[in-house]
Amino acid sequence: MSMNRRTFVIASAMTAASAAAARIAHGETGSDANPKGPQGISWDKAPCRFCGTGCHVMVGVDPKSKRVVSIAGDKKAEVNQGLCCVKGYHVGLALYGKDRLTTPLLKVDGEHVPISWERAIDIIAERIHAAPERFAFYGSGQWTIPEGYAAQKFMKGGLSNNHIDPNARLCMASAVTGFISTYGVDEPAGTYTDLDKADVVIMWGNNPAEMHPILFSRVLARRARGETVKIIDIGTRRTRTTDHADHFLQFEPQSDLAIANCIAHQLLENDTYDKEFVGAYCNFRKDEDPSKPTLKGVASTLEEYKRLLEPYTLEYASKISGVSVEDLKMLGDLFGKKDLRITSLWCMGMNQHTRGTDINRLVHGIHLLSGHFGKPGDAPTSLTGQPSACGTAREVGTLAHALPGGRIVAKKAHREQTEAIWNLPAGRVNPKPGYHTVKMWKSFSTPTDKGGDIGTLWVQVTNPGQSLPNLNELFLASRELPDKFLIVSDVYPTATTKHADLILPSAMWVEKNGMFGNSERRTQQWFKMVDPPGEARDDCWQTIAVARKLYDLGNKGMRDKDGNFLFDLKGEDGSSVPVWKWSRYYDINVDEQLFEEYREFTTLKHKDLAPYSEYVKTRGLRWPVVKQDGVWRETQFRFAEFDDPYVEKGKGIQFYHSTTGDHRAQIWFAPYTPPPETPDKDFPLWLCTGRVIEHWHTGSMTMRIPQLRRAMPSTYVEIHPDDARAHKLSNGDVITLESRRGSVDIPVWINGRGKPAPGSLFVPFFDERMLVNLVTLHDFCPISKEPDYKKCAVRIKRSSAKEPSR
Amino acid sequence: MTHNTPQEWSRLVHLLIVGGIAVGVFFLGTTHLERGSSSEPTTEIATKAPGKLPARSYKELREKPYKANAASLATLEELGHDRTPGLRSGSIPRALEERASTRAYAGAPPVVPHPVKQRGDLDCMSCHRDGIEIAGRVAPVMSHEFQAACTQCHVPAIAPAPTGDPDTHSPPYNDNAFIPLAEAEHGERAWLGAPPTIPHSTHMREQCLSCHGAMGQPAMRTSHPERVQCTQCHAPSAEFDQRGADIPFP
Repeated sequence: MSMNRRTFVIASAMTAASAAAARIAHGETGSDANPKGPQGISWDKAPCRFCGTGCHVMVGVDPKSKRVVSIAGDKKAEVNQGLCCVKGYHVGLALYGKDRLTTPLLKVDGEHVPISWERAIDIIAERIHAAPERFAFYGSGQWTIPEGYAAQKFMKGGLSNNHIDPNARLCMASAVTGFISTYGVDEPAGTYTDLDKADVVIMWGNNPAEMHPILFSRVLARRARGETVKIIDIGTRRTRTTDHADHFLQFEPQSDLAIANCIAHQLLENDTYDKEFVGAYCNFRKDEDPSKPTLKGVASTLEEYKRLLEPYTLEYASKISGVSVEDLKMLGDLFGKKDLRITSLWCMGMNQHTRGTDINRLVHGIHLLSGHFGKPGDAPTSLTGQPSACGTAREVGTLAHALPGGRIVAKKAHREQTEAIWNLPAGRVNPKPGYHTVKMWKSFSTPTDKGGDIGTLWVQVTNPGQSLPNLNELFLASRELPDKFLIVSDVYPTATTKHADLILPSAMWVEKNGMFGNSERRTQQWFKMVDPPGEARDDCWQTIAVARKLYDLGNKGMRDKDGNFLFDLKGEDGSSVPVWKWSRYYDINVDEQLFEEYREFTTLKHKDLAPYSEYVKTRGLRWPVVKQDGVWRETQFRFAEFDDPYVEKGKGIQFYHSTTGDHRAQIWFAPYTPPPETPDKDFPLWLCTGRVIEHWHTGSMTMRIPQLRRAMPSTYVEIHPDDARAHKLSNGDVITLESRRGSVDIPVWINGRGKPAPGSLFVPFFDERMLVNLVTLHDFCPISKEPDYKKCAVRIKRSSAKEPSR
Repeated sequence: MTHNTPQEWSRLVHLLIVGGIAVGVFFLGTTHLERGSSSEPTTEIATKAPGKLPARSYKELREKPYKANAASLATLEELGHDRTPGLRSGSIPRALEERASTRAYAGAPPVVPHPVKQRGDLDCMSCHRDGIEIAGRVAPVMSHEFQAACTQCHVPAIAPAPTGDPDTHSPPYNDNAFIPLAEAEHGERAWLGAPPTIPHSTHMREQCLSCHGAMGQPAMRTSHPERVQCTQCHAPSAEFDQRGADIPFP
């Protein structure tokens, strides 16, 4: 047992942690820590720091050096069953890049100079106090649940300011609106368990072989054992997923809408749709005016749905999509077979889409129409890219319009419930939604006298200087405006900290306590195992410290209706613990206290969470976690009687949050429309952006891990050999990639990792030396506000530079 | 282990040709992985008469315990190791150092010392199913059961991209100060002469002969290859193997 863990455990036993949790943490009933393991290493569980799959790893800590020295796949974890991907195996190295940020840095005359934490907190608090309504908080799907919850309470409960949005807006907002408009409530009905049961797994614009490798190899392992499972890859480029797939259907960007409609058309035309399922559990819905899409839409009928789908014949869909009539027919036939189990997976391909909400709706619609829903293996399941996009962004609701537990600021009852739990005076929560990500950054990048009303922006756990689309307009423009103050909390220097006015060094992963929520509704917990370097501190502490400073400055919002501080956390003896002082922060388990408070929010939408101590014992539990026969039991399939305790007996399937109030899901019609920008004479090529297995998102962690960096040291442009020939390009030649918004120089890789279609390019966005987001466009889905990183028009020319723009 | 059939021989020859070409092409940058040749005498073994290998009784073992190769009864032909002498020799620390050069820490999946282009479930199996050794260079048998997505865990040691910039120190990204868990040199012995325990996880390392067999690092090879049921005598670690080390005794 490391000293850190011991210190923590003793502290939690002495103070607020429940006796049960303390006993567990002492190793009496369930801890994995062993002070005398082989080679003296102590091991403890943690979810992986990287993606939304939510694998667990065992972290080996050397008690003498108090450093992470080893990682092992966690055999007790149901998600990954002892395996990891290459990022997961090397996650421990992410802590030890030599350029960790270790002290607060303030920009003075263009130079970052070290300052004290006290001064840093004062600067932030004073700026907010002077103009609370001009402050915005830009967070993350990598925020732990308590971090996101603290930020949410600070903004909406303290400052009455709804300008808080996470980077998850760029990642899964369309999945959220798809779920809400179909089922009335967010997040998938199925789980990864469906991948063990499905006869057919369909990837919609998704490359899990690289982005969710553990899930993909889970399916491949079934095939290797001799089970029959058909893998169908529907995509715009050939990827590693394609290499293992039984079928590859290459489609023209945006035509996924036509393919989905064509499947629905066939089900109706061939009379193979599930009449019983549709009759008992579904309604039909559409947008009243397709040019003005809304979240709610208007009621439709089966007859009208049939009529609207009439144009989507095999021939028409084939013409738009480029997918053969035979392959489209194969999809239609598969969905028409009721004895097959079909699981659909998707991630950024469907979400980062100017019609993101619609394509999400259509894929749910096909599953509902064909009755491929509610049985193990029959599920439409969206995957997330960040470890707590679900747990924090979606469930805690750190979005500009949301409140915890599926509530929204616009609803009076929801505001009142929130104020009651937070013990706030009536009317504290502002009913007007704040700015979503693109709007927030647009406002920050607009001069104050021209209406840019965000003046101070605090970024935590994300790297918008690299990941925002159209960086020139949304990010870099603000850096020319002297009154716009950018605060960035991070662990390494990044493309964002480079431009920051104030940098705060953060603790990361097992340097702090934490909780994540993965793609399959699984809530996970871990303990702090090692100390952060230098003066790096927890993001959650940073938020509470600023809140306390505001309290000291007399800010009324930082007091509840009894005059107590918003984050008045108590020790075991009932006295307040000044957790805003760093030296006292780990006197109690702040995570546990914030989580137990947050739990009260989770029952409204039947997303019940178990007590903190249950998550200490397990490798996560999938909500709703409901106490049944004295045991906290997780839920594998929502809305299905066989597993969901909230479905009434005898109902079979019950969509108990139906938007129409009749326990039915909505099958939406949405037409195919062309994308906002298509290649033309001036910009003749498609550009798609994405990721590679070695690097996670902007690469700020993985580029500092030698094994990963050596395997994939820099970004590249994937180009079809025909286009390379036409432009007289060979491997390694540097080209200037240019759109209407910006340009970047990147080297070419022909027949490399993936293979794009003729006339299209692909660039991974992990390399901060070659920012492809200078080129991408920020048009977004009108409902989800999620931008489209997957398609815009570009042109290329051989660069005059011999070296890429790094 | 059995004698090779003609079919297996023809497959081996085929693999040698394929592997030879691959190794020739990708020789550059991988030289540090060459196996050190044995400096210890091997003549004693070569002069042994062929024949079936007798198992030794526990009494014989007590009287004449195994030492590293010194008393080995086997010729390689007898054992079916028909490729390279699989004798135990050399320094363990040096072997572990070489092993560590392709791994971030003890137990990390090794990086691949050649370019990888997996285009299907079975591509990597052509060399790594049975393992091959050509001119001192080894494609080891997989240490774990078949997994189709090899590149999920194993990435090339040297970038395949034409953009390759092997300098991992160049700005803006800095070097890494991770200090890895080192592989233990030996397992624990309860008493002098007791079989050592396995000092590492056996998860994903179930095939002992991948590292301890005839094609493993000479210093890490077993001294008694005729004994094939390793865990009969060598106890794995419940702690490393995550098998209930946390369940307290009543």
